[in-house]
Amino acid sequence: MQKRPRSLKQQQARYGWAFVSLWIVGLVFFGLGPIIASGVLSFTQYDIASPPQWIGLANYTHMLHSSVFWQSLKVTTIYTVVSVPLGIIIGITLAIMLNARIRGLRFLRTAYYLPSVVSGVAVAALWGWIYNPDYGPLNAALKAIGITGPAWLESTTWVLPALIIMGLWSVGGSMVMYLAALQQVPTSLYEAAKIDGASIVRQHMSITFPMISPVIFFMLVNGIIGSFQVFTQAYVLTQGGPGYSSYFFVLYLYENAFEYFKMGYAAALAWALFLAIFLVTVLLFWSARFWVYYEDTSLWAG
Amino acid sequence: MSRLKFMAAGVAGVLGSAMLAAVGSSPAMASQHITLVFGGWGTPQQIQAYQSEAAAFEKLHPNVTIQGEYLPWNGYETKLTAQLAAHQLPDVMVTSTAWFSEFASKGAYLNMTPYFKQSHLSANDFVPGGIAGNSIHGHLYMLPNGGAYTIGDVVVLYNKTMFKKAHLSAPPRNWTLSDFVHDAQKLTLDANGKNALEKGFNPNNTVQWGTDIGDSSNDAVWDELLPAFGGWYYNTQETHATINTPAFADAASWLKDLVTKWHASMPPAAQTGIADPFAAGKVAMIYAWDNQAQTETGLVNFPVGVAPLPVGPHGRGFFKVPNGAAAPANGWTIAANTKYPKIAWEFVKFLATSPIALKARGINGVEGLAYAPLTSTWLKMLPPKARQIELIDHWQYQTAPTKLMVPPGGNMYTEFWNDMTAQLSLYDLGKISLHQTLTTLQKDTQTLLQQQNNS
Amino acid sequence: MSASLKSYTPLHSKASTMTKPWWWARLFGRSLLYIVLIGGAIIALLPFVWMVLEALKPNYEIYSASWLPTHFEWSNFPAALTTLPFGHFFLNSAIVTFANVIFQTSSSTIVAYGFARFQFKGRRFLFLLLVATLMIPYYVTLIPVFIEFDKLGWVNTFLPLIVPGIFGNAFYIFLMRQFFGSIPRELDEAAMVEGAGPLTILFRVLIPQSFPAMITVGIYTFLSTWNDFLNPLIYLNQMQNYTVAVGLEYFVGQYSSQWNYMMAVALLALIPCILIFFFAQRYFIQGIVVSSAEK
Repeated sequence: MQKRPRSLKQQQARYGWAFVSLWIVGLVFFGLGPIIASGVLSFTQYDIASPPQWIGLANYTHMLHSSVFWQSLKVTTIYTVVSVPLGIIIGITLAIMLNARIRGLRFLRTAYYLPSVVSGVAVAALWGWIYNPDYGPLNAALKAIGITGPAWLESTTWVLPALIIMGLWSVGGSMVMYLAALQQVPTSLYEAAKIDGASIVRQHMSITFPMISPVIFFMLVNGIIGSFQVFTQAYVLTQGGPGYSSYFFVLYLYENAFEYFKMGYAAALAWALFLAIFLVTVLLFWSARFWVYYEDTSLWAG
Repeated sequence: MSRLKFMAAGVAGVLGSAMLAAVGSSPAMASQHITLVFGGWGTPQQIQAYQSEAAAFEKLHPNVTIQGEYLPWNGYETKLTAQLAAHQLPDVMVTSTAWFSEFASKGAYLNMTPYFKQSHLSANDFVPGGIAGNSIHGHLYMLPNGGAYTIGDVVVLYNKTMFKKAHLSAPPRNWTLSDFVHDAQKLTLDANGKNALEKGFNPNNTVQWGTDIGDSSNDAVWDELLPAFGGWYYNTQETHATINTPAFADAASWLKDLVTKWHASMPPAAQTGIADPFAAGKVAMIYAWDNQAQTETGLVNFPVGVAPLPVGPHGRGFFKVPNGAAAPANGWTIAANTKYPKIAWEFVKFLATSPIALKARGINGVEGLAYAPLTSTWLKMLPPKARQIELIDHWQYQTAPTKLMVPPGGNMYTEFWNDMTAQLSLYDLGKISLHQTLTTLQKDTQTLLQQQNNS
Repeated sequence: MSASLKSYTPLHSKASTMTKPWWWARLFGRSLLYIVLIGGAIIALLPFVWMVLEALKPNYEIYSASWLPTHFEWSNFPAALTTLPFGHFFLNSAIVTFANVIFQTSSSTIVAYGFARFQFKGRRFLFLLLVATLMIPYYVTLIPVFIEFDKLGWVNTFLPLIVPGIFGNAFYIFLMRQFFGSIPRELDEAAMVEGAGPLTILFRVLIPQSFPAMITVGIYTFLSTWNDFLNPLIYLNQMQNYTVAVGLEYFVGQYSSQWNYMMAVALLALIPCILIFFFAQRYFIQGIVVSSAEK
């Protein structure tokens, strides 16, 4: 192997670019154009049929004065703050439990995974049934333990919890992610901990969590990106109601773009959302150095 | 004649007649083969109707191929929007009132007026307001297809079995809103079989309701009820919102009373997940669009009666369209940039007025009939239940009040309606007062009207 | 929850130290674990029972509020499948899904490798850009993207549904990068000393180590492509080109819906997703194999 230090560095860079360029090509051809277009459109009035007209910052100022904008931002933030941590905690717990050596493991895992597979109209029909206050199974179960269940989707108080529960029902999808992560934890670490007499809880706190922290970080970032953009639940089930109590941000965006033909305003909404998510994400990336354990820290530290 | 000669003669004969046939059918277009894209939404049954009428047209025009773009209802409008942006709309489209005005005002559709004039069709043969309501500034953009021979009319459907059990006679033609409330209360039963008019009725344990219209989110109900109380959403010129008015307040509180005071209407919460309370046998009377009504009667296994709308303090709730893009019924449109406007028009005319098209699609299509000369053919095709609806529709037309109303149209309809639903549901839940509701809606609607008039 | 956590041994460690005073605690904990897991599984599965019952309802009962049909209408399954060309739909779904699983999994792995293991200028910026592309809502780029594919003449072909996947998917690139990040560098370096080039290291060192992660990416891609409704609907025009996810929606009408048929097809469409997971998950118990082989 003939190599001088400097050329190794150059070679490294060349390989890096070579591998990454695959994605860059895709970005240039399919991603960047539309993204830039939406940025430009956000400064225009664009009704799709006629050419866009430049109106400067009008869309953005209108947004700040719209009470619906703030309401949808509030609803979406509450949804994110509650459902992302819950999803992570339940997902990890499930994965750890289903990583144990138990009977019927495959069937249990499949059972938990199943809900994440159902999509579209079937979900809407299903949850409509579940949340019916008179005939639905949920309130029937609550009644059995002496609780009178709320009107769920028709209650301004309970509609958001109802949609959060609905989202958590498909937590089996993220369980898969954590299961994959658990497979990478070297078993030797547990053996060593056991010799030291560490309890199971301790073993998880000091081995499992640090070792799968890169994946937890990934799920946190993506959970936040995803739940800021949550749409389908409200679109198929509540249309944002009652009142505006489940009016998610992207539902607001969608209605402006495809129902009111205010594409310019919708683009401005998208960029406002982008800014919010981006700030949170940058904060998370910064925090990663304190709690995410990387074998290779160079990307974040250097 | 030898066998060979016989065959040769036969081949020549077939060829000759084929050539003659080609020349005979529309000589102008024989030289060129045309593919026309036809877009529509529907269920598998409704798509079969599209396919049959397209095939019938191809048979008449051998040089034309109809290429179907048949989509589900969900997502249809989203796709059209993307196609509009890319100037790739189908040549001929089945078009809903839900987006006709928006698309028409953006120049998406071909102006059919010159073709209409040349064709010697008469506007009077179409549903009342069908041609005028589909025109903007005198340009016709859509031929109506209705859901039936109506302009998107609303009727009351009732469950005859429930009426019989409650010892109620069929609603008379001149029944009033108070009659409606009375019947609805009598038809509302708790678990012990007591109705809402009886002492000891338990509203918290209702098993059957008189109606479901107390849910404010139903635009069919509002469009009919508001005129019955003497009000409307805005003035005829569409310059001022008229929501903060006594008439509107009366209608809103009447609807709320139906649920909370008279206990006669199924609350929205109880309807969660029940796609159709009437078909589910939970509700005795509903307001239904006529085209929905037809489907409805086909679905249920109990006898369905049809009644006209009840009369309110200011007459029968009913609107009629003077003019201006108000799209009283669904219809067919042609893309503004189609390559074959002439043949597209031929196709649309065929769909709207030809008995061949009507017979090909049958009665299960998204498209119905809005062309008077075909009414008798149409009525013969309908099953008895649906025929009943048509007759009530027809009668309602003849007795319609002279006062003309503009249904919410234009660019702001969807946004207006979404806000209306949201605010009214907060009022229904007791989250905001009636005064607050009306003030907010008045202000929001005024803003939307201004936006519309400015653009 | 801590009781159940305490009560079992993770896969990786051999259940060896069963000291006597604690056997009853272990038994108690084990039972609790089973009760919790089976209870949860019932909650997760209950809706499917409902879906099956819904699919078996006769036509005149689809709107009834009771969830038990008066009789099981098994003919709903063949009836639903023959209303539209569902054979085509399933085949199209299979083609598009297979292509995406292959392309997205492999290309995302390759790109992630570039981000995870090589130093170059602009790497942090590019990675942040990658994550940032995930933050733009789909609906706002839908129209520009549609116009682009239209200009390319790709509308009404499978290309818009497949080609973008060839260049990797930002979500999976990010994921794979995270997995690669937790594999010790010493393994690469050891291979490098033995003369392995970058591709050899990827295939011989990193991929075997993160195979469960690649399986996960494959499962995720499968599911998202298989269930994708809007993209096929928008980019394809002719009905025989549509996928199952679109086909399902035909049963949902403007005014009335055939829920029984819709549920019947929805259930059939679930089967491939379940099978894929059921068989793929054997890679999630690799830990057992490795650790017992070591012993």
